[in-house]
Formats: sequence, structure tokens, C-alpha cells
Amino acid sequence: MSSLTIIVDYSNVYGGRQRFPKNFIEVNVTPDTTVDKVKNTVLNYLNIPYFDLYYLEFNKQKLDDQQSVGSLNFSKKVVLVLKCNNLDELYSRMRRDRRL
Amino acid sequence: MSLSFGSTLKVYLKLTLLFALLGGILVGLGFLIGGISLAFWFLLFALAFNFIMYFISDKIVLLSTGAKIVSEEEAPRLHAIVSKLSAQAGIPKPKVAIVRSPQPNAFATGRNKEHALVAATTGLLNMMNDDEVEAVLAHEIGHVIHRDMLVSTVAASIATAISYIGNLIAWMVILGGLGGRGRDDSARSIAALGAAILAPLAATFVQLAISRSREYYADEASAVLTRRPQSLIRALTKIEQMIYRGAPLNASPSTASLWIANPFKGSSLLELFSTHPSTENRIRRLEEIARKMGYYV
Repeated sequence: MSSLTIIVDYSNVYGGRQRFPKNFIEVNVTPDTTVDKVKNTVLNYLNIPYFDLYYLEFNKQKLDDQQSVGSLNFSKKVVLVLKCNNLDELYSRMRRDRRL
Repeated sequence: MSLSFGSTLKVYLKLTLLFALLGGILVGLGFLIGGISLAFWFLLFALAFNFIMYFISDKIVLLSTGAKIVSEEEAPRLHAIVSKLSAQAGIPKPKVAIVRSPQPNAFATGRNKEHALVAATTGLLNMMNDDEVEAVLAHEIGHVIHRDMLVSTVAASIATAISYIGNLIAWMVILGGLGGRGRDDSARSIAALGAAILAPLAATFVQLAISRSREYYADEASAVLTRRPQSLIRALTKIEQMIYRGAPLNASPSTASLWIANPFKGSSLLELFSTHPSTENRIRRLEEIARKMGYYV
């Protein structure tokens, strides 16, 4: 099974300003890997446990968590953007869990 | 909180030596342009400029790092740790700020103990346990106690004056203002041009050496304040790993010297050119401190 490298831009995971260099990480996947798995890999790397608050975006289109990478017909070096769908909830949970 | 007498003496001797070196370069350049008095005026100008910066630096830093001052309700854990550390250090509680960035890092700014600000990134707060966050913030409190903003402002002032004089000499040589047409005069012009190029470079190296020595000093303060040097070793290791694994910080590169670890460095950068000592050297020193404290490392 051929593998593919997906680049994830996680600069905006905490909703910070985007004036400076972006933050990227490479994730190695196979066509069977789901979008959910890619997202969780990056969130685990960042030690963020709130998986339900995040989604991946490609060309400003929100990707379905259950879709497989193979079904999306990505080119060799695709860049996905990791985004939070509710920053208020994120910070509220971080406070609740004594992370802030 | 206090460091041992020997350790404090060593820090002050090193700082005095480095400032003497900067002063020496300034005086040497002053002679080249025809007198100490002109060098003195450049120093006064640089001091005035840098002291204005010193008074407004905290606002500039907040803007350039994207840090936001937070209340106790917004960041209870961070506030609790800063309150505990500032009480232990015997200083007023600094303002507390958060930078929304995935990279674990922290910095302190403010012109004195009464106007200090300590900031941490969301990445640091999410990735580190309480002991590690405490160790990192104790390092930042160390910068506040040691008046490092003042030290770096004075160092920057002298280095700026040297750089101005270097530029002046270079222009004097180019426009023929130094020396005449004889062989001796040509040699003098070449020497002056060499000094004009090398002196600001040497001043920058000394300024960076001062910055690095303050980092070691703040590390030592963290070890003394928390009594757990191992926590700072673990925190520095985590930060280093994150920086090398490619998690650049969303902040201006001009703020590199502020952070506990340089967030913009590459793996091949020589320590001589760096605002921070290598993490390896910092850990080695912290291990020595831990052994002196009676911990097995």
C-alpha cells in the first residue's frame, strides 16, 4: 500500500494571531487512514485532548472526520489546516482541567 | 531567596568583565575618531534612545509577541503559580499574560520588580505539569529579580553607540576625512575601516555573551527558588524537543532573547552567535546545582 505525507498547519490551534511563520508537522499516512486519525495524531503531539473541538480543512473546505485519505485524491504534498470550531469552549475546558 | 556568595560573586565579576570589554571597545573607537568626548556623546545618545525603549519595552513586547494580560478567572493555574513564586522571591506579583501559541515557551519583561510581566504560551501550559511550569516561571522571576531588563538595556546602549561610531568611521574613511594621501595615512585609513567593521561585531558578541550569562543566572535562580532543578531540566528538554521538531513560535524573531529558550534557532547555530546558551550546557549546569543540593542526578 503506497504511503503519503500530509502536512498539517497547526498554527491556529489556540486561535492566536497569524502574523509570523506558520507551524507545520508532517504526518505519514496510507490511503486507508481516516481524516480523524490524522487530526488526532497532531492533537496528541500537541497534548490537546479535546478532539471533538477540532477539524481539518483543505482549500477552506471542512473535511469529514470519517473520510479516508485515499478517497480525497490528494496530491503528493498536501497541506491541511487544523482548526478549532469553538475557542470559547476550548478555553473553558482548559480552565476546568487546570490547564490554564 | 539567595544564591551562594561564591556564585553571586562569579556572576558579578563576569558581568563587570563583559561591560568593561564593551567600554574598552567604545573608548578604542573614540580614540580613532579623534577623542573620547565624541564617543561619550554617541554613548549619551544611545543611552537616551535605549532608556526610552526600556520604559516602553513591556508594551512593545506585548505587541510583538501577541501576549494578552489575563485575569485570575481566565488563567487560575498560571496566576496561582506566579503568586506562589513571587511570594517566595519576596517581590510584588508580576502581571500575568498568555501567548496563544502551540510552542511551549515563556518570557518576562518590565523595567523593574514593580512593573514586571510574566508570560507563558498555551503550548507550555498544556504540555507541562505543575512542577515544570513552576520551574520555567521561576526562571522568568529570576530575570525580574536580577533586573535583566536594565542589564540588557545598558549593554544594548553601549553596543548601539559602538555601532554608530563604527558607521561614522566607515563614512569618514570613504569620504577621506581620516588621513591624507601619504602611505602612513592610507594604512591608518585601512586600520580604521577594519576597526569600524570589527568593533560593532565584537560588541554584538559581548552583548550576546551577557544575554547568555543572564540565562544561566536565571536558571540558577529557578533551582534555588523551587528547590527542584530537575523540574527545569525536564522542562528545558521538552521545549528543546518541540523547537527541534519544528514548532516555530508565532512571535517576532526580534523577541528571541526574551524567551526561556530561543524559539527561532536552528540546529547548526553556534552558541557564540546565540542569545541563549545551548540547552545541553544549561542542563549540565543544572545537574551540577542539583548535585550540590544533594540530589542524585
